[in-house]
Amino acid sequence: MTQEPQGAVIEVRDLHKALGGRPVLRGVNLRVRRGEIFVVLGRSGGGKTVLLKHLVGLLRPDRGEVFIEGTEITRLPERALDRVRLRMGMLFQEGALFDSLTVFENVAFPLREHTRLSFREIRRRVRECLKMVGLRSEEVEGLYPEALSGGMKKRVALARALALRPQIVLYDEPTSGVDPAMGREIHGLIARLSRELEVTSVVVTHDWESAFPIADRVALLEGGRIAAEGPPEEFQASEDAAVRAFLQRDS
Amino acid sequence: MTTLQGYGQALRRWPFEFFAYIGEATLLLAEALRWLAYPGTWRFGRIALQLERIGWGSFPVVAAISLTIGMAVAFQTAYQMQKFSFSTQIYTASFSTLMIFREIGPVLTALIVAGRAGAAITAELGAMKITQQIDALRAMAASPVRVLVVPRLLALVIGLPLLTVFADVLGVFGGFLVGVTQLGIGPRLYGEMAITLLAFKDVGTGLLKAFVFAVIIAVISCHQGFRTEGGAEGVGRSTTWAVVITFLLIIAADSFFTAIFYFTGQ
Repeated sequence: MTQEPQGAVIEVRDLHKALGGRPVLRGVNLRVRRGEIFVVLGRSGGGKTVLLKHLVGLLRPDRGEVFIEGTEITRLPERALDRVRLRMGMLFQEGALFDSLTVFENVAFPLREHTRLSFREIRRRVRECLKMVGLRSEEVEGLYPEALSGGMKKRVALARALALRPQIVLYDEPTSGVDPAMGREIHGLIARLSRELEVTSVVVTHDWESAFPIADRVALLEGGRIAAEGPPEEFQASEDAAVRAFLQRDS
Repeated sequence: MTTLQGYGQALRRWPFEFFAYIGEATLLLAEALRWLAYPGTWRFGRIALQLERIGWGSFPVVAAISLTIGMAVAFQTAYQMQKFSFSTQIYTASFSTLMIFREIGPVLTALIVAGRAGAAITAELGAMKITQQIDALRAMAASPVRVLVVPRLLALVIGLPLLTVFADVLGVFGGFLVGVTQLGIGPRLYGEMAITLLAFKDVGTGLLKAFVFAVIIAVISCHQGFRTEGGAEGVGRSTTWAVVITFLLIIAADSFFTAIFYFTGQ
Protein backbone atom coordinates (compact mmCIF):
# COMPACT_ATOMS: atom_id res chain seq x y z
CA MET A 1 0.00 0.00 0.00
CA THR A 2 1.35 3.38 -0.95
CA GLN A 3 1.75 6.21 1.47
CA GLU A 4 -0.96 8.81 1.61
CA PRO A 5 0.35 11.21 -1.02
CA GLN A 6 0.59 14.89 -0.44
CA GLY A 7 -2.46 16.74 -1.67
CA ALA A 8 -4.88 15.19 -4.08
CA VAL A 9 -5.64 11.53 -4.87
CA ILE A 10 -6.35 12.57 -8.44
CA GLU A 11 -4.77 15.59 -9.99
CA VAL A 12 -5.24 16.72 -13.56
CA ARG A 13 -3.00 19.45 -14.96
CA ASP A 14 -3.66 21.37 -18.14
CA LEU A 15 -5.17 18.41 -20.00
CA HIS A 16 -5.65 18.84 -23.75
CA LYS A 17 -7.20 16.33 -26.10
CA ALA A 18 -8.55 16.59 -29.62
CA LEU A 19 -10.56 13.75 -31.14
CA GLY A 20 -11.09 13.55 -34.87
CA GLY A 21 -9.52 16.99 -35.27
CA ARG A 22 -12.01 18.58 -32.85
CA PRO A 23 -10.61 19.90 -29.56
CA VAL A 24 -12.56 18.27 -26.72
CA LEU A 25 -10.47 19.10 -23.68
CA ARG A 26 -8.69 22.45 -23.71
CA GLY A 27 -6.74 22.74 -20.52
CA VAL A 28 -8.60 20.91 -17.76
CA ASN A 29 -7.27 21.34 -14.22
CA LEU A 30 -8.74 19.60 -11.21
CA ARG A 31 -7.87 18.02 -7.89
CA VAL A 32 -9.88 15.33 -6.15
CA ARG A 33 -9.27 14.76 -2.44
CA ARG A 34 -9.20 11.42 -0.71
CA GLY A 35 -12.60 10.04 0.20
CA GLU A 36 -14.70 12.72 -1.41
CA ILE A 37 -17.43 12.45 -4.02
CA PHE A 38 -16.43 14.74 -6.85
CA VAL A 39 -19.14 15.38 -9.43
CA VAL A 40 -18.26 16.61 -12.91
CA LEU A 41 -21.20 18.19 -14.70
CA GLY A 42 -21.46 19.14 -18.33
CA ARG A 43 -23.51 18.95 -21.47
CA SER A 44 -23.60 15.61 -23.26
CA GLY A 45 -20.85 15.59 -25.86
CA GLY A 46 -18.94 18.08 -23.73
CA GLY A 47 -15.99 15.77 -23.06
CA LYS A 48 -16.92 14.38 -19.64
CA THR A 49 -16.39 10.78 -20.68
CA VAL A 50 -13.18 11.74 -22.48
CA LEU A 51 -11.92 13.29 -19.24
CA LEU A 52 -12.85 10.17 -17.28
CA LYS A 53 -11.09 7.92 -19.77
CA HIS A 54 -7.89 9.87 -19.23
CA LEU A 55 -8.05 9.10 -15.52
CA VAL A 56 -7.68 5.35 -16.14
CA GLY A 57 -5.34 5.71 -19.10
CA LEU A 58 -7.87 4.54 -21.71
CA LEU A 59 -6.94 7.69 -23.63
CA ARG A 60 -3.62 9.48 -23.78
CA PRO A 61 -3.71 13.28 -23.77
CA ASP A 62 -2.22 15.48 -26.44
CA ARG A 63 -0.80 17.59 -23.66
CA GLY A 64 -1.01 17.75 -19.88
CA GLU A 65 -0.62 15.42 -16.95
CA VAL A 66 -2.72 13.11 -14.81
CA PHE A 67 -1.55 12.06 -11.35
CA ILE A 68 -3.19 9.12 -9.61
CA GLU A 69 -2.07 8.86 -5.99
CA GLY A 70 1.04 10.76 -6.93
CA THR A 71 1.93 8.69 -10.04
CA GLU A 72 1.94 10.48 -13.37
CA ILE A 73 0.15 8.04 -15.69
CA THR A 74 -0.08 9.67 -19.11
CA ARG A 75 3.29 8.41 -20.25
CA LEU A 76 3.32 5.07 -18.44
CA PRO A 77 3.55 1.95 -20.58
CA GLU A 78 0.41 -0.19 -20.55
CA ARG A 79 1.72 -2.73 -18.04
CA ALA A 80 2.85 -0.15 -15.50
CA LEU A 81 -0.50 1.52 -15.99
CA ASP A 82 -2.17 -1.78 -15.08
CA ARG A 83 -0.70 -1.57 -11.59
CA VAL A 84 -2.36 1.81 -11.13
CA ARG A 85 -5.62 0.54 -12.64
CA LEU A 86 -5.81 -2.26 -10.10
CA ARG A 87 -6.48 0.40 -7.47
CA MET A 88 -9.33 1.87 -9.50
CA GLY A 89 -12.77 0.74 -10.56
CA MET A 90 -14.75 2.19 -13.43
CA LEU A 91 -18.46 2.03 -14.07
CA PHE A 92 -19.12 2.42 -17.79
CA GLN A 93 -22.15 4.20 -19.14
CA GLU A 94 -23.92 1.13 -20.50
CA GLY A 95 -22.28 -1.11 -17.92
CA ALA A 96 -19.98 -2.76 -20.50
CA LEU A 97 -20.68 -6.16 -18.96
CA PHE A 98 -19.14 -9.08 -20.82
CA ASP A 99 -22.16 -10.44 -22.63
CA SER A 100 -20.70 -13.90 -23.08
CA LEU A 101 -20.38 -14.30 -19.31
CA THR A 102 -23.04 -14.66 -16.62
CA VAL A 103 -23.51 -12.11 -13.86
CA PHE A 104 -21.46 -14.29 -11.52
CA GLU A 105 -18.64 -14.69 -14.04
CA ASN A 106 -18.66 -10.96 -14.76
CA VAL A 107 -18.19 -10.02 -11.13
CA ALA A 108 -15.71 -12.86 -10.61
CA PHE A 109 -13.70 -11.84 -13.68
CA PRO A 110 -11.33 -9.33 -12.03
CA LEU A 111 -10.85 -11.69 -9.09
CA ARG A 112 -9.95 -14.58 -11.37
CA GLU A 113 -7.64 -12.35 -13.38
CA HIS A 114 -5.75 -10.76 -10.55
CA THR A 115 -5.97 -12.97 -7.50
CA ARG A 116 -5.27 -16.58 -6.66
CA LEU A 117 -8.34 -16.92 -4.49
CA SER A 118 -10.05 -20.28 -4.24
CA PHE A 119 -13.42 -20.77 -5.89
CA ARG A 120 -15.17 -20.63 -2.52
CA GLU A 121 -13.48 -17.38 -1.62
CA ILE A 122 -14.33 -15.90 -5.03
CA ARG A 123 -17.93 -16.96 -4.62
CA ARG A 124 -18.05 -15.33 -1.21
CA ARG A 125 -16.60 -12.08 -2.59
CA VAL A 126 -18.95 -12.06 -5.62
CA ARG A 127 -21.98 -12.50 -3.38
CA GLU A 128 -20.73 -9.82 -1.04
CA CYS A 129 -20.30 -7.38 -3.95
CA LEU A 130 -23.73 -8.17 -5.38
CA LYS A 131 -25.23 -7.63 -1.95
CA MET A 132 -23.46 -4.27 -1.63
CA VAL A 133 -25.18 -3.01 -4.76
CA GLY A 134 -28.53 -4.29 -3.59
CA LEU A 135 -28.87 -7.42 -5.71
CA ARG A 136 -29.81 -10.88 -4.47
CA SER A 137 -27.13 -13.15 -5.81
CA GLU A 138 -29.32 -16.26 -5.92
CA GLU A 139 -31.67 -14.42 -8.29
CA VAL A 140 -29.18 -12.90 -10.71
CA GLU A 141 -25.98 -14.96 -10.51
CA GLY A 142 -26.78 -17.27 -13.39
CA LEU A 143 -28.32 -14.69 -15.72
CA TYR A 144 -26.62 -13.30 -18.80
CA PRO A 145 -26.46 -9.49 -19.19
CA GLU A 146 -29.05 -9.49 -21.99
CA ALA A 147 -31.64 -10.68 -19.47
CA LEU A 148 -31.05 -7.69 -17.17
CA SER A 149 -32.78 -4.30 -17.10
CA GLY A 150 -30.70 -1.13 -17.55
CA GLY A 151 -30.66 -0.41 -13.83
CA MET A 152 -29.65 -3.96 -12.95
CA LYS A 153 -26.86 -3.91 -15.54
CA LYS A 154 -25.45 -0.82 -13.86
CA ARG A 155 -25.59 -2.48 -10.47
CA VAL A 156 -23.85 -5.61 -11.70
CA ALA A 157 -21.23 -3.47 -13.44
CA LEU A 158 -20.73 -1.57 -10.19
CA ALA A 159 -20.37 -4.85 -8.28
CA ARG A 160 -17.70 -5.85 -10.81
CA ALA A 161 -15.93 -2.51 -10.42
CA LEU A 162 -15.87 -3.01 -6.64
CA ALA A 163 -14.67 -6.62 -6.70
CA LEU A 164 -11.00 -5.78 -6.23
CA ARG A 165 -11.81 -3.25 -3.48
CA PRO A 166 -10.56 -0.20 -5.34
CA GLN A 167 -9.46 3.04 -3.68
CA ILE A 168 -10.95 5.14 -6.46
CA VAL A 169 -14.19 4.55 -8.37
CA LEU A 170 -15.07 6.42 -11.55
CA TYR A 171 -18.69 6.61 -12.65
CA ASP A 172 -19.60 7.48 -16.23
CA GLU A 173 -23.19 8.76 -16.32
CA PRO A 174 -24.39 6.30 -13.66
CA THR A 175 -28.01 7.41 -14.01
CA SER A 176 -28.33 7.64 -17.78
CA GLY A 177 -30.96 5.38 -19.27
CA VAL A 178 -32.73 4.69 -15.98
CA ASP A 179 -35.88 6.34 -14.62
CA PRO A 180 -35.53 9.23 -12.12
CA ALA A 181 -36.44 7.08 -9.11
CA MET A 182 -33.80 4.54 -10.04
CA GLY A 183 -31.41 7.43 -10.69
CA ARG A 184 -31.81 8.71 -7.14
CA GLU A 185 -31.40 5.18 -5.86
CA ILE A 186 -28.14 4.74 -7.77
CA HIS A 187 -26.81 8.03 -6.50
CA GLY A 188 -27.78 6.96 -2.97
CA LEU A 189 -25.88 3.75 -3.56
CA ILE A 190 -22.79 5.69 -4.66
CA ALA A 191 -22.95 7.79 -1.49
CA ARG A 192 -23.35 4.72 0.71
CA LEU A 193 -20.49 2.86 -0.97
CA SER A 194 -18.16 5.81 -0.73
CA ARG A 195 -18.92 6.09 3.00
CA GLU A 196 -18.73 2.39 3.79
CA LEU A 197 -15.70 1.54 1.65
CA GLU A 198 -14.01 4.92 2.05
CA VAL A 199 -13.34 5.16 -1.67
CA THR A 200 -12.74 8.33 -3.61
CA SER A 201 -15.48 8.78 -6.22
CA VAL A 202 -15.56 10.78 -9.42
CA VAL A 203 -19.04 10.96 -10.90
CA VAL A 204 -19.55 12.32 -14.38
CA THR A 205 -23.17 13.23 -15.08
CA HIS A 206 -25.59 15.77 -16.54
CA ASP A 207 -28.21 14.80 -13.96
CA TRP A 208 -27.28 17.46 -11.39
CA GLU A 209 -30.53 17.38 -9.46
CA SER A 210 -30.05 13.90 -8.08
CA ALA A 211 -26.23 14.22 -7.94
CA PHE A 212 -26.11 17.37 -5.76
CA PRO A 213 -27.32 15.75 -2.53
CA ILE A 214 -24.41 13.27 -2.59
CA ALA A 215 -21.68 15.55 -3.93
CA ASP A 216 -18.89 16.92 -1.75
CA ARG A 217 -17.71 19.12 -4.56
CA VAL A 218 -19.02 19.89 -8.04
CA ALA A 219 -17.23 21.04 -11.17
CA LEU A 220 -18.68 22.22 -14.46
CA LEU A 221 -16.89 21.15 -17.62
CA GLU A 222 -17.71 23.69 -20.30
CA GLY A 223 -15.90 24.46 -23.53
CA GLY A 224 -13.20 21.93 -22.69
CA ARG A 225 -12.27 23.58 -19.39
CA ILE A 226 -13.47 23.51 -15.80
CA ALA A 227 -15.66 26.63 -15.80
CA ALA A 228 -16.64 26.53 -12.14
CA GLU A 229 -15.95 24.41 -9.09
CA GLY A 230 -17.09 24.25 -5.49
CA PRO A 231 -19.42 22.66 -2.95
CA PRO A 232 -22.93 22.05 -4.34
CA GLU A 233 -24.58 24.82 -2.26
CA GLU A 234 -22.08 27.40 -3.47
CA PHE A 235 -22.33 26.07 -6.96
CA GLN A 236 -26.10 26.33 -7.00
CA ALA A 237 -25.96 29.90 -5.72
CA SER A 238 -23.24 30.88 -8.16
CA GLU A 239 -23.73 33.94 -10.34
CA ASP A 240 -21.37 32.56 -12.96
CA ALA A 241 -23.03 32.76 -16.38
CA ALA A 242 -21.98 29.27 -17.47
CA VAL A 243 -23.25 27.72 -14.25
CA ARG A 244 -26.57 29.57 -14.45
CA ALA A 245 -27.02 28.56 -18.07
CA PHE A 246 -26.31 24.92 -17.28
CA LEU A 247 -28.59 24.72 -14.26
CA GLN A 248 -31.46 26.53 -15.99
CA ARG A 249 -31.28 24.60 -19.23
CA ASP A 250 -31.37 21.27 -17.50
CA SER A 251 -34.01 21.89 -14.86
CA MET B 1 -13.02 17.90 -55.03
CA THR B 2 -14.41 15.78 -57.85
CA THR B 3 -15.00 12.10 -57.30
CA LEU B 4 -12.29 11.32 -59.78
CA GLN B 5 -9.70 13.26 -57.83
CA GLY B 6 -10.92 11.47 -54.71
CA TYR B 7 -10.29 8.11 -56.32
CA GLY B 8 -6.89 9.26 -57.50
CA GLN B 9 -5.94 10.28 -53.99
CA ALA B 10 -7.28 7.09 -52.47
CA LEU B 11 -5.29 5.11 -55.01
CA ARG B 12 -2.06 6.92 -54.14
CA ARG B 13 -2.65 6.51 -50.41
CA TRP B 14 -3.58 2.87 -50.71
CA PRO B 15 -0.08 1.32 -50.53
CA PHE B 16 0.81 3.37 -47.45
CA GLU B 17 -2.39 2.45 -45.68
CA PHE B 18 -1.97 -1.18 -46.58
CA PHE B 19 1.54 -1.35 -45.16
CA ALA B 20 0.53 0.63 -42.10
CA TYR B 21 -2.26 -1.90 -41.57
CA ILE B 22 0.09 -4.86 -41.91
CA GLY B 23 2.49 -3.10 -39.54
CA GLU B 24 -0.21 -2.67 -36.90
CA ALA B 25 -1.28 -6.28 -37.29
CA THR B 26 2.35 -7.38 -36.87
CA LEU B 27 2.63 -5.37 -33.66
CA LEU B 28 -0.50 -7.09 -32.39
CA LEU B 29 1.09 -10.47 -33.16
CA ALA B 30 4.28 -9.43 -31.38
CA GLU B 31 2.32 -8.41 -28.30
CA ALA B 32 0.40 -11.70 -28.33
CA LEU B 33 3.68 -13.63 -28.54
CA ARG B 34 5.13 -11.60 -25.68
CA TRP B 35 2.17 -12.55 -23.51
CA LEU B 36 2.88 -16.25 -24.11
CA ALA B 37 5.87 -15.95 -21.81
CA TYR B 38 3.57 -14.88 -18.97
CA PRO B 39 2.13 -17.87 -17.08
CA GLY B 40 -1.24 -16.20 -16.37
CA THR B 41 -1.89 -16.21 -20.12
CA TRP B 42 -2.19 -19.97 -20.29
CA ARG B 43 -5.81 -20.42 -19.37
CA PHE B 44 -6.69 -23.87 -20.60
CA GLY B 45 -10.42 -23.24 -20.37
CA ARG B 46 -10.28 -20.21 -22.64
CA ILE B 47 -8.17 -21.97 -25.26
CA ALA B 48 -10.42 -25.05 -25.18
CA LEU B 49 -13.52 -22.89 -25.62
CA GLN B 50 -12.05 -21.23 -28.70
CA LEU B 51 -10.79 -24.53 -30.05
CA GLU B 52 -14.28 -25.93 -29.78
CA ARG B 53 -15.84 -22.92 -31.51
CA ILE B 54 -13.24 -22.51 -34.22
CA GLY B 55 -12.08 -26.07 -34.84
CA TRP B 56 -14.82 -28.43 -33.91
CA GLY B 57 -17.51 -26.15 -35.31
CA SER B 58 -15.81 -26.14 -38.70
CA PHE B 59 -15.64 -29.92 -39.07
CA PRO B 60 -18.92 -30.54 -40.94
CA VAL B 61 -18.43 -27.85 -43.57
CA VAL B 62 -14.75 -28.74 -44.07
CA ALA B 63 -15.76 -32.39 -44.45
CA ALA B 64 -18.44 -31.69 -47.03
CA ILE B 65 -16.33 -29.34 -49.10
CA SER B 66 -13.09 -31.32 -49.06
CA LEU B 67 -14.85 -34.54 -49.99
CA THR B 68 -16.55 -33.01 -53.01
CA ILE B 69 -13.50 -31.04 -54.11
CA GLY B 70 -11.44 -34.23 -53.78
CA MET B 71 -13.85 -35.89 -56.18
CA ALA B 72 -13.75 -32.97 -58.58
CA VAL B 73 -9.94 -32.91 -58.55
CA ALA B 74 -9.84 -36.64 -59.35
CA PHE B 75 -12.22 -36.14 -62.27
CA GLN B 76 -10.23 -33.21 -63.63
CA THR B 77 -6.93 -35.06 -63.31
CA ALA B 78 -8.36 -38.16 -64.96
CA TYR B 79 -9.71 -36.01 -67.78
CA GLN B 80 -6.27 -34.51 -68.45
CA MET B 81 -4.55 -37.88 -68.13
CA GLN B 82 -6.88 -39.44 -70.72
CA LYS B 83 -5.44 -37.07 -73.32
CA PHE B 84 -2.10 -38.87 -73.13
CA SER B 85 -3.13 -42.45 -72.96
CA PHE B 86 -5.54 -44.66 -71.16
CA SER B 87 -2.80 -46.21 -69.05
CA THR B 88 -1.70 -42.92 -67.52
CA GLN B 89 -5.12 -42.65 -65.90
CA ILE B 90 -3.87 -44.59 -62.90
CA TYR B 91 -1.66 -41.59 -62.10
CA THR B 92 -4.85 -39.76 -61.23
CA ALA B 93 -4.42 -41.21 -57.76
CA SER B 94 -0.87 -39.90 -57.36
CA PHE B 95 -1.40 -36.44 -58.78
CA SER B 96 -4.69 -35.64 -57.15
CA THR B 97 -3.36 -36.80 -53.79
CA LEU B 98 -0.32 -34.56 -54.16
CA MET B 99 -2.46 -31.61 -55.20
CA ILE B 100 -4.69 -32.11 -52.21
CA PHE B 101 -1.92 -32.42 -49.64
CA ARG B 102 0.26 -29.63 -50.97
CA GLU B 103 -2.26 -27.08 -52.13
CA ILE B 104 -5.97 -27.69 -52.01
CA GLY B 105 -6.29 -29.07 -48.50
CA PRO B 106 -4.45 -26.26 -46.69
CA VAL B 107 -5.83 -23.38 -48.80
CA LEU B 108 -9.40 -24.57 -48.89
CA THR B 109 -9.50 -25.29 -45.18
CA ALA B 110 -7.95 -21.91 -44.38
CA LEU B 111 -10.49 -20.09 -46.57
CA ILE B 112 -13.39 -21.93 -44.96
CA VAL B 113 -12.10 -21.20 -41.47
CA ALA B 114 -11.39 -17.56 -42.36
CA GLY B 115 -14.92 -17.12 -43.65
CA ARG B 116 -16.52 -18.96 -40.79
CA ALA B 117 -14.43 -18.53 -37.65
CA GLY B 118 -12.40 -15.47 -38.67
CA ALA B 119 -15.52 -13.48 -39.48
CA ALA B 120 -17.09 -14.60 -36.19
CA ILE B 121 -14.01 -13.42 -34.27
CA THR B 122 -14.12 -9.97 -35.89
CA ALA B 123 -17.85 -9.63 -35.29
CA GLU B 124 -17.51 -10.68 -31.65
CA LEU B 125 -14.55 -8.44 -30.84
CA GLY B 126 -16.09 -5.61 -32.88
CA ALA B 127 -19.31 -5.82 -30.88
CA MET B 128 -17.25 -5.85 -27.68
CA LYS B 129 -15.38 -2.77 -28.89
CA ILE B 130 -18.46 -0.68 -29.62
CA THR B 131 -20.12 -1.64 -26.32
CA GLN B 132 -16.97 -0.61 -24.40
CA GLN B 133 -16.22 -4.15 -23.25
CA ILE B 134 -12.68 -3.79 -24.58
CA ASP B 135 -12.29 -0.56 -22.60
CA ALA B 136 -13.71 -2.34 -19.57
CA LEU B 137 -11.05 -5.04 -19.87
CA ARG B 138 -8.30 -2.44 -20.06
CA ALA B 139 -9.75 -0.50 -17.14
CA MET B 140 -9.65 -3.74 -15.14
CA ALA B 141 -5.97 -4.13 -15.98
CA ALA B 142 -6.80 -7.20 -18.07
CA SER B 143 -4.98 -6.87 -21.39
CA PRO B 144 -7.43 -7.50 -24.26
CA VAL B 145 -4.55 -9.06 -26.18
CA ARG B 146 -3.90 -11.56 -23.43
CA VAL B 147 -7.55 -12.29 -22.67
CA LEU B 148 -9.00 -12.24 -26.19
CA VAL B 149 -6.28 -12.56 -28.84
CA VAL B 150 -3.98 -15.18 -27.35
CA PRO B 151 -6.63 -17.92 -26.85
CA ARG B 152 -7.94 -17.36 -30.39
CA LEU B 153 -4.47 -17.40 -31.87
CA LEU B 154 -3.56 -20.62 -30.05
CA ALA B 155 -6.86 -22.27 -30.95
CA LEU B 156 -6.34 -21.45 -34.63
CA VAL B 157 -2.70 -22.54 -34.64
CA ILE B 158 -3.70 -25.88 -33.10
CA GLY B 159 -7.03 -26.30 -34.85
CA LEU B 160 -6.29 -25.30 -38.43
CA PRO B 161 -3.49 -27.85 -39.05
CA LEU B 162 -5.69 -30.58 -37.54
CA LEU B 163 -8.59 -29.55 -39.74
CA THR B 164 -6.22 -29.50 -42.71
CA VAL B 165 -5.11 -33.08 -42.12
CA PHE B 166 -8.74 -34.06 -41.83
CA ALA B 167 -9.55 -32.23 -45.07
CA ASP B 168 -6.59 -33.87 -46.81
CA VAL B 169 -7.72 -37.33 -45.82
CA LEU B 170 -11.31 -36.72 -46.86
CA GLY B 171 -10.21 -35.10 -50.12
CA VAL B 172 -8.09 -38.13 -50.96
CA PHE B 173 -11.02 -40.33 -50.02
CA GLY B 174 -13.19 -38.36 -52.44
CA GLY B 175 -10.64 -39.00 -55.16
CA PHE B 176 -10.55 -42.65 -54.18
CA LEU B 177 -14.33 -42.93 -54.58
CA VAL B 178 -14.12 -41.45 -58.06
CA GLY B 179 -11.13 -43.60 -59.02
CA VAL B 180 -12.73 -46.83 -57.86
CA THR B 181 -16.31 -46.30 -58.96
CA GLN B 182 -15.91 -44.19 -62.10
CA LEU B 183 -12.44 -44.80 -63.49
CA GLY B 184 -12.26 -48.48 -62.83
CA ILE B 185 -9.04 -48.37 -60.82
CA GLY B 186 -8.91 -51.12 -58.21
CA PRO B 187 -9.09 -49.92 -54.62
CA ARG B 188 -5.75 -51.46 -53.77
CA LEU B 189 -4.03 -50.01 -56.83
CA TYR B 190 -5.52 -46.56 -56.15
CA GLY B 191 -4.20 -46.70 -52.61
CA GLU B 192 -0.73 -47.68 -53.72
CA MET B 193 -0.61 -45.08 -56.49
CA ALA B 194 -1.83 -42.42 -54.07
CA ILE B 195 1.11 -42.88 -51.74
CA THR B 196 3.92 -43.67 -54.19
CA LEU B 197 4.69 -40.04 -54.99
CA LEU B 198 3.66 -38.72 -51.62
CA ALA B 199 6.59 -37.90 -49.37
CA PHE B 200 6.73 -36.58 -45.84
CA LYS B 201 7.67 -33.15 -47.14
CA ASP B 202 4.37 -32.91 -49.06
CA VAL B 203 2.44 -33.33 -45.85
CA GLY B 204 4.92 -31.09 -44.03
CA THR B 205 4.73 -28.19 -46.47
CA GLY B 206 0.94 -28.37 -46.35
CA LEU B 207 0.97 -28.21 -42.58
CA LEU B 208 3.50 -25.37 -42.57
CA LYS B 209 1.12 -23.43 -44.80
CA ALA B 210 -1.78 -24.24 -42.48
CA PHE B 211 0.21 -22.88 -39.54
CA VAL B 212 0.96 -19.61 -41.33
CA PHE B 213 -2.64 -19.26 -42.51
CA ALA B 214 -3.81 -19.77 -38.92
CA VAL B 215 -1.63 -16.88 -37.74
CA ILE B 216 -2.95 -14.67 -40.56
CA ILE B 217 -6.59 -15.45 -39.74
CA ALA B 218 -6.14 -14.89 -36.01
CA VAL B 219 -4.18 -11.67 -36.25
CA ILE B 220 -6.22 -9.97 -38.98
CA SER B 221 -9.58 -11.00 -37.50
CA CYS B 222 -8.65 -9.76 -34.03
CA HIS B 223 -7.00 -6.60 -35.29
CA GLN B 224 -9.99 -5.74 -37.43
CA GLY B 225 -12.29 -6.41 -34.47
CA PHE B 226 -10.33 -4.01 -32.28
CA ARG B 227 -10.44 -1.34 -35.00
CA THR B 228 -14.22 -1.45 -35.22
CA GLU B 229 -16.03 1.85 -34.90
CA GLY B 230 -19.47 3.17 -35.70
CA GLY B 231 -22.11 0.89 -34.25
CA ALA B 232 -23.74 -2.15 -35.82
CA GLU B 233 -22.91 -0.93 -39.31
CA GLY B 234 -19.27 -0.65 -38.28
CA VAL B 235 -19.27 -4.25 -37.09
CA GLY B 236 -20.60 -5.35 -40.48
CA ARG B 237 -18.00 -3.29 -42.30
CA SER B 238 -15.19 -4.61 -40.14
CA THR B 239 -16.27 -8.20 -40.66
CA THR B 240 -16.37 -7.77 -44.42
CA TRP B 241 -12.91 -6.23 -44.42
CA ALA B 242 -11.52 -8.94 -42.17
CA VAL B 243 -12.68 -11.64 -44.59
CA VAL B 244 -11.44 -9.77 -47.67
CA ILE B 245 -8.02 -9.06 -46.16
CA THR B 246 -7.47 -12.56 -44.75
CA PHE B 247 -8.48 -14.11 -48.09
CA LEU B 248 -6.02 -11.90 -49.95
CA LEU B 249 -3.22 -12.57 -47.50
CA ILE B 250 -3.86 -16.32 -47.45
CA ILE B 251 -3.70 -16.50 -51.25
CA ALA B 252 -0.63 -14.26 -51.32
CA ALA B 253 1.14 -16.33 -48.67
CA ASP B 254 0.18 -19.51 -50.48
CA SER B 255 1.66 -18.36 -53.79
CA PHE B 256 4.75 -17.19 -51.97
CA PHE B 257 5.27 -20.51 -50.20
CA THR B 258 4.50 -22.57 -53.28
CA ALA B 259 7.09 -20.59 -55.24
CA ILE B 260 9.66 -20.96 -52.44
CA PHE B 261 9.05 -24.72 -52.21
CA TYR B 262 9.34 -25.01 -55.97
CA PHE B 263 12.65 -23.20 -56.17
CA THR B 264 14.12 -24.92 -53.13
CA GLY B 265 12.99 -28.31 -54.37
CA GLN B 266 10.70 -28.94 -51.43
